[in-house]
Formats: sequence, C-alpha cells, structure tokens
Amino acid sequence: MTLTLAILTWALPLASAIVPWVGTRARGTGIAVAAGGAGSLAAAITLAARIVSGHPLKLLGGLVYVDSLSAFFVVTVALVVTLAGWGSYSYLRAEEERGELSPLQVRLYGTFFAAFAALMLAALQTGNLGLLWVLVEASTLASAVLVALEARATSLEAAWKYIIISSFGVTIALVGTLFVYYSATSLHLSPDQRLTWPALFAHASVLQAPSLRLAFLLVLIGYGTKVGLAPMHTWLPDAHSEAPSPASAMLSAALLNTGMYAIIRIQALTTPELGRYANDVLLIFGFASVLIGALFMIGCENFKRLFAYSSIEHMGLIAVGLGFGGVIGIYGALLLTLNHAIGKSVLFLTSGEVVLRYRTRDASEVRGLLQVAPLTGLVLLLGTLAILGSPPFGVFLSEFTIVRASFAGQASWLGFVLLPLLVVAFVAFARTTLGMVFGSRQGRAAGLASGSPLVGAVPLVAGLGLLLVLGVWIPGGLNELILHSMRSIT
Amino acid sequence: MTGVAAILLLCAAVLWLAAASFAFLARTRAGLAACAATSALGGTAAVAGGGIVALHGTEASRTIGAGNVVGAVTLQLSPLAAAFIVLLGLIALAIGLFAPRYHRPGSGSAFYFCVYNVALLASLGVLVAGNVVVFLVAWESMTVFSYLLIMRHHQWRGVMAGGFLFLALGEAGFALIVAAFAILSVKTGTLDLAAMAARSHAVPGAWRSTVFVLALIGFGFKAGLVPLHIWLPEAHPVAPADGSGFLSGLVIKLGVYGIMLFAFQLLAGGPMWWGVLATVIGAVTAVVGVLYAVIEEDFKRLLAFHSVENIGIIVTATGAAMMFRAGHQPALGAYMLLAAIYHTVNHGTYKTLLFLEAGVVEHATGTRDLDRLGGLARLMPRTSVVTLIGTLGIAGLPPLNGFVSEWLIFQGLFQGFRIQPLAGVVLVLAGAALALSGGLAVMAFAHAYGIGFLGIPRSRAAAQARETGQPLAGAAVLAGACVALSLGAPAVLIALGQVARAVTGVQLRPVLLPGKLTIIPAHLNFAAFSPTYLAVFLVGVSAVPLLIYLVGRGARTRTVPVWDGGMLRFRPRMQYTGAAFANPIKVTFGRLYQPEFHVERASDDPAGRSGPVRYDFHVLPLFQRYLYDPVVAAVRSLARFVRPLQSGDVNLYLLYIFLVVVIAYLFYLIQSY
Repeated sequence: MTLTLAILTWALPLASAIVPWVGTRARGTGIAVAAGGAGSLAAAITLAARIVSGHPLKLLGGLVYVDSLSAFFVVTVALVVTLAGWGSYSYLRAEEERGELSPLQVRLYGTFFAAFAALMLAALQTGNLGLLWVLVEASTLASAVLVALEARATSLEAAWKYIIISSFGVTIALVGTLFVYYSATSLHLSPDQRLTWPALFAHASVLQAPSLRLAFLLVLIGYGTKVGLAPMHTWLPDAHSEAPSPASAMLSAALLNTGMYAIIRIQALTTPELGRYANDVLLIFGFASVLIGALFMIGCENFKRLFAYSSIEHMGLIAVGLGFGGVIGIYGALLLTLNHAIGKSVLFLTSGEVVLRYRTRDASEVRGLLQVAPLTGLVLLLGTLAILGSPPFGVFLSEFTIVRASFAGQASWLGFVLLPLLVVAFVAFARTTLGMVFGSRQGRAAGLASGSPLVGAVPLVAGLGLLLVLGVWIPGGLNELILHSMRSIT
Repeated sequence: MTGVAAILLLCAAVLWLAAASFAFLARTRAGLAACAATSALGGTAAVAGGGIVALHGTEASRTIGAGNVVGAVTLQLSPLAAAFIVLLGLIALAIGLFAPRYHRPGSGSAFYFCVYNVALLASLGVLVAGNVVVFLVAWESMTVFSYLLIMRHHQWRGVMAGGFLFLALGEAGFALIVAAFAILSVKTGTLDLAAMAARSHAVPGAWRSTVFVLALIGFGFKAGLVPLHIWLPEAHPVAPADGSGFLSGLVIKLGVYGIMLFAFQLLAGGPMWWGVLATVIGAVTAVVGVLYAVIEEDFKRLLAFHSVENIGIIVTATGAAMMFRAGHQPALGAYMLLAAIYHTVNHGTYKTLLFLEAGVVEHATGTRDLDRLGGLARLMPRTSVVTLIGTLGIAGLPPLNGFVSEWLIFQGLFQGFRIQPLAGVVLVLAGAALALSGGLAVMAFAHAYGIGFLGIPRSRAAAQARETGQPLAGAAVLAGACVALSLGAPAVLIALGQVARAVTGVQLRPVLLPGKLTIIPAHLNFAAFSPTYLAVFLVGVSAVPLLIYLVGRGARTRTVPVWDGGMLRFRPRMQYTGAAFANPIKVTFGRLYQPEFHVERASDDPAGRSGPVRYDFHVLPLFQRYLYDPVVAAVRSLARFVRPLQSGDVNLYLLYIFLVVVIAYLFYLIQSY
C-alpha cells in the first residue's frame, strides 16, 4: 500500500503527459496537469501520514527509500506541482487564445511539465545516491525545454545557459557522489550498498573522513548549483525570468528544494565523522547567497528576476538554518522550505498574470495593479509581504526560528549580520513590487485574453490562505512530520 | 474579575474581527455605519476590559495549544498593558463614531475598514501577547496593516513615499526587536514572556544591556525617537484623518509600551546608564520634535512633529523612572512610571482628537496649510470649540489633562537630587529640556490655533468653509476624556497606581493621594496640587467677567466703528502670518534648520508696492541627509559594485564555479595537513 502511494506520487503527474498527444489542446492539457498534481499531492499526504506513523519504505536494496524527510519534500514538491499545474491551465489557455503558442508548444509544455514533476518526485524517493543524481540531471533537461518554450532569442539563451551551468555543476556533484562511494570502500558492504543512503547512514561513523570531507564539498558545490547557492547561482535569474510563469514556479519552488534535499542527505552522512564541518561550509555558502540575493534585488526592475534573486536569498537562509543546526535551526530550515515553496509559487503565478496583462516583465511599466486587476494586485501585495517574512504569514515563523538558531549558536554575532541583510532584502523587494501594486493606472494594460480570471485566482488564493494558516498555526501532523524528518537525519 | 475582563477583551476582539470580515458592507452608507458602530462597540468593550485589569492589578495568562519548536499561543493580561488597552479602546470608540461620516461609501472604504479593524485587532494582540511569537506576529501585523491604512488614497501624490517610509523603518525596527527577543529567549531558554521575566536576571550583564539597547532602538523606530522619527511627518499627513489619529494615538504608543515592557518587566531593572540613555534620547527627541513642529505650516505635519515631542517627554519620564529605580529610589521610580503612562494616555486622547478635527478642517476647506486657513472659529464653531479643547490639552495648559501629567513629570524630574549627583544632573538637564519644549509647544499651538482658526479667512476656500455635518460624537468622546482625565486626576492616579504597583511592587497611593483630591507627588515638603480644585478655581475666575457682563447688560450701549488708523478695509493679507509667527524661532535656531529662503518680487519699488511676492522656505532635512541618505547610498553603491558579477557571460559563470571548486580543494588540502 505504501509502495503504491509512493509510485502514485510520481506516476500520476507522468500519466498526465499522455493527454496532450491524444487530441485535446490547451484546455485538456491544463486540466490533466492540474489533476495530475492534485492526485500526486493527495497521494503524497497519505504517504507522509503512513511513513510518520510507521516505518520508512525500503525496497530493492534501497533503490526505493522513503523516510520522513523524503515524505516532507515529496509533500512540498507535490504541493508546488498542484499550484503550478493549476496555474498552467490559465497560462496555456490565455496564450493559446492569443495565438502565442502553437499546438506543438502546448504539447511540449504538457509533456515536459509532467516529466519534470515526475522526475523530481521520483528523485526524492530513492535511497541510491547514483540514481538520485541521474534523476536530478534528467529533471534539469526536462525543465530546460520549459525555459526555452516561448522560443524567443532571450529564452533560448537562458535555456542554453541553464543547461551549460547546471550540467557543469551536476558533473561536480557526480564526482562528489563518487567520493562518497570511495569513502565507504573499507566497509563490508556490497558495491551497490556503498551508494545507498540508509546503508551509508547506518555506518556513517566509520566512513573515511578525508574522502567524505571532499565528497561533501563537491556535492555542496554541485547540487548547490541546482539550489542556486552563490556564487553558483548565475543561471537562476535568466532561467526564471524567461520561463513561462508556472514553470518558473516549478523551478524556484520545487527544483531548488530537490537540490537542497540532496545536500541535506550528504550532510547527514558527514555529521558523525566530521562534526560541525559541514555546518560551517553551509553557513559560508548560505551567507554568501543571502548577501548576493539581497544586493542584487536592489534596483532590479525585472520583477521575475527579482523573484529569482529572492529565491537565492531564501535558499541561502535555508542553508544558514541547516548550518546553525540543532533542533531549532533544522526545524526552521525545513519550515522555511515549505513556506518559501508556497509563497514563491504564488508570486510566480501572480507574475504570470501580470505578464499576460501587460506583456512586459519590467516593473516600472506596471502601475496601479490594485485598480487594473484588484485580485491580482491584492495577491501580489500580500504575497510580497508573505515572502518577505511579514507576519501573519508562515515565512515569518520559519525565519524567526532561524534567527533564534543564529543567536543560540557559538557565533551569535552572525545573527547581527543576518538581520540587516533581511532588512535590505525587504526594502529592495518591497520597493519594486509595491510600486506595481499601488499608484494610479497608467500605461497599456491589455485585458486578460482568457475570460476566466477566477480560475486563475484559485491557486493564488489557496496558496496565500495556506501561508496564512501556517503563519498562525502549525498543524500537529506537519509538526510531527518535520520532527520525524529531523530524527531521520540525525 | 479577571475572567470578566478576559471575556470583555474577547468580545472586543470578536467585534473587531466581525467588523473586518463584514467590511465589504461599507459599500453602502448604512453598511458603513454598521461596520463603524461594531468597531466602536468593540472599543467600549476594550475600555471596560482594560479598566478592570488595570484596577484589579493582577496578572493572568493562558496558553492555548501544546508547545512545539515554534512556540505555543500564550495570551496574558497584565496591568501595564491594560493601561494601553484602555487607550486603544477609547481611540477605537472615538474613531468608530467619527468614521461613518468622514468616509465615502465604496469599495475603497470597505478595504480601508477591513484593514483598520485588523489593525485594531493586531494592536490588541500586541497588548495581550504572553509569548514572544504572538507578540512579534501581532506587532508586525500591526505595522503591515497600519501601512495599508496609510495607503488608503495611494493614487495621490506623496502617499506611496510616505507609506513606504513607514513600512521600511518599521521593518528596520522590527529586525532589532526580533534580535532583542531572540537573544533573550535563547539566553533564558523560553519563549514565554512571564518565564522570561522570571529568568532574565540570570542572563549575563553584557547580553542584558545588548537586549535593552536593541529594544530601545527597535521600539524607538515605531515610537518615533529622534533620529528614528522621520516617518512620522511623512506618513501622518497622507493617511486619512482617523488613520493618522490611530497612528499617533496608538501605534507610536505601542513603541513606548515595548520599551516599558523590556525595561520594567522582561529585564526588570538594569544599571543606571540604561536610564540615562533613555532620558537623554527622550529629552533630545522632545526638543527636536517641538522645534520642527513650531515652524511647520501643514497642520497634520505640525501634529506629527508634535507627537515626536510628546514621545520624547514620555520616554524621558520612563528613563527617569529607570534611573530612580537604579538609584535605589523605588518609590520615585514607580511614581515616574505612573507619570509616563499618564502622559501616554493623555497624549493619545488629545492627539487623536486633533487629527480627527484636522480631517474635518481639510474636508471643509480642501487644505491643511495653516496660512490658507483662518477665521474658522466663526465659520465652523463646533469644530473650533472641540479643537480648542484638544489644543489646550496638548499645549499643557491648566486645567486640562496635558498640564496634569506634565506637572507630575516635572515634579519627578526635580527629585533628581535624591540619587547620585551625576545622574541627578542628567535629570535636571532633562527637566530643563522639557521646560524648553513645553514653552515651544505652547507657541506651536498658539501658531496652529491662532493662524488657523482665529482672524479672518486667508483664502477663498477658508472663507467658504462650513461645518461638514460631521457628527461631534467621536471628537466629543475624546474631548470629554480630556476633561475627565484632568478633573478626575485622583481617580486616574488610583488606577495607574495599581498599574505601577503591579509593575514595580511599590504601593504609591497613601503617599501620593493622602486626601481625596490633593496630589503630593514625591515628598511631603515639596509640592502639592489638586487638578480638581484648580479647575473649579479657574472656572470660578472666568465666571467673574461673565458676571460683570451679565450685570452690566442692562446698561445702554453705544456702537461705533473701531479706530482703524485710516485703513479703508481690513484685509486678510494684513494679518500676522504663520511664517512670520515662527520667524523668531527660525532665526534663533537657524543652525538646526539651515533654512533656504527664496523671495521673488515682481519689482523692487522702495515704496513697498512690490506687487505679488513669492516666499519659499525650506528646512534642511537634517536626518535624511546626514543619516539615512548615506546609509542608502552605501548599500546602493555596494549593489552597484557587485552588479558586474552577473554580466551575462556564461564563460565567466563557469569560471566562478571552477574557482569555487579550486578554493574548496585548497581549503580541503589545508585542513588535511
């Protein structure tokens, strides 16, 4: 039963890839993608509940391995797929009606969106580090098609950069993975078990320290390229800005988290042997990312790039939380992962609505959104506040937990470094987006081609509602899931 | 009794929540009135609930939900917060009565009412928070919703900038508050405020001082301590009148609450220099605030700067309370805390009143520029009388409430000789600074009321001003509160004495109020005062001319024109202007203002017939230019400096990754050997 659920989580999105090829176009594709996501989410939540109350799922010698941490990330990613899938429906219909997308492009979108989602969800459910690497690399390729989908010169360039940089990074991750294998050579494990996480974790205290240390550095740099940790983040702004908005949401809210998941797994292996070594490295990269993210947000007029830099900042914060470690550090990091995923999905989907309306990504050309499109404006306003860590939204609770962790650590001065950066990020980000929300209507605000703004608003409102709930109340089940996740890696 | 109070506060919360949820009804006039009435009813419940807690003087707390890593939800009733809850309720009541006529029904107003009621709820949340997370969530929600309140007319000029300044500085302050709470919670190992207060004495002194300074600055951003005050004069004028009233009446007071919470409850006393720091900052704030207020021509900006001054007075008193406490004079410390809270409540009432009336004047005349008003006393008599009550209160003139609390504060400051000499000198200097600011405040309000309401109209808009039909109820509640807070000073002292006792453990009442109506602030042989008798006396004195008038009314009167020196007609332009009124101050304190004058004349005719003269006067925005702009510029240039990193060249991007690998490998090699 647990296995069936695990398979369903990625098989349902994958199945939706068939729909675009059997005749129907944007409408059917959109519904299929959204339904695939919703089914996956339902399966993921059930799966998580079963894993938390029972045992981790381990099959085929660890080739399939789902513990609480996997379940937590699966739920997060499935949630993003659901929101982005629903957003895809509005996106595809609007672009098709306007004649911007050819039938082939719609089909490509449907297929590769589904493949992208399925590959990420599958990557989170394997215990084999080699297979994990393969699936992450494959998901990169699938998402590159989405980045290039609109086939402008700029989007092709962005996709090209994305593939080159990500592949380079992931290659480094492969070398890192090999060193993990190498560090286990002295153990009495069968060769395939030397890359299997549960087996390695069980013997984590007898792995060879030197190669493990090198392995962690390389894996962090490699998967860090996927996560968007500075200075390996350079592909992010271009790819996020050029991809169709639902795909940007998937990149920012799902793909980055998948990369972070891989890093967390390897970090867990290093703790018994290397102590706080991995934490310190994570802190360095985390702070660099927060700094770079915050500084690049200043004066950034392309709002999708702005959101991308905000993702870099948040991934940095998650790395910082993991780096501080301890119960509150990791708890805060995981909670932020979930909250950021929801918040960023909402923001990117909102940016999609704005792009559809204004045909521009330049924030200075968008004014008075509250008047032009009250709902979109309101969501952008609240989404901005939410992602920037204003209560009563969930991101605040997680960021506050990370700040507490920063003062609890040995180097409590780091907290005083972190807070000003968050203020800079807040001011820079809010300045741009609030300028879009308020003011009086001006410029060319084309009406939304698709006649169903309400359908488009559903994922936005649902996401914001969820963030609001997480801001005032952490459900017992989620609390349990996060605590179990922490236990499975420490 | 605590149970009753809790139920009342719950009622207030539910009513505000209902008003926020049903704010969409405010598209129609009836719906708007219902919504505002619900909100006002909530205010009444809060006044009652807060009053009970304050009088009862006991603490109670309740935790909902099991504790997890993030923290449980704990609510508490504390007497210190209760005083602020009463103020919150009073303001909500007044605004609820005021708002239905002030706002035009429509979707904009509906959104505004929703936001406003949530802001009320969040403020209540700050005051009943018993746990760090609840406090912070409520605090920042209050900021965010106050920001949305300011953005009511976001299409108008200056609103975006003013609102954003509020939000950005609010966020900066919030970061410091978060740091203060995070450090304290980590060092005490709890998120619960009561437990934190119990354990904080064990925290090392350096960390305690860090926490205090962070809290003072962090809450200072919201309170508007100089130089963190720059959002007040920008945000207040652009908000709707009731929104400004809420900001100045309550939001900045919560900054004061935060400082008191840390100084007296969470950290429960500290070294002398904490008090000195707060006193000095408070005194500087008072003087700088009033100096900017006195030359201001925009009525709402004047009021905003004046709020800065009053926050300065309150923080000075708070700092003095801390100093007395550190100097082993607990009774004087408790007394000064009481005076500070008293002044807080007073300022909340008359400042809200004045902002509401400024809104009425703006609706009637279309301007806030005092030099374009004039003569309103005759054209808008009701508004003028209510405004006069607020003006007398705010200027600290007897027999109104501003005088009572300022007198109490002065009496306390003069007791500075009872603690160690150096600190005593600080208190006396602070007293001198407050005396200066008090004098200038009288001038500022003589300016505001004299230029704005007396004389003859200075513009056509002012000449056509009529009462807008704004019902008096909202402002009358506040005016009544002003009078009650003065005449009923002994009763207020009893209630606030309970608060001070709960916070500091000192029973003030037998010393402070030996008789029924006489206040003896500090020492039997120092000074005594009865606001009630004083009011009776002043009313009695003013009865004398009235009596003479009534007696002499029967005599024959002869009506002749006043001797006018040969003028044909008295023109508005012949009146003393606001600019002229403030000019001596501008000259005396020229070094602070560094003004820029621009005078343009049509001709230089020595006979004085120069034709139209254009006169511009700009004050140097000192703090923006020398404090905020450099910080912003530094961050901007840093951003520009790193911009080339993201050049778009993919080879460069790959080089970064390669370099990181190389550095990581070197790092690895170094560690291995």
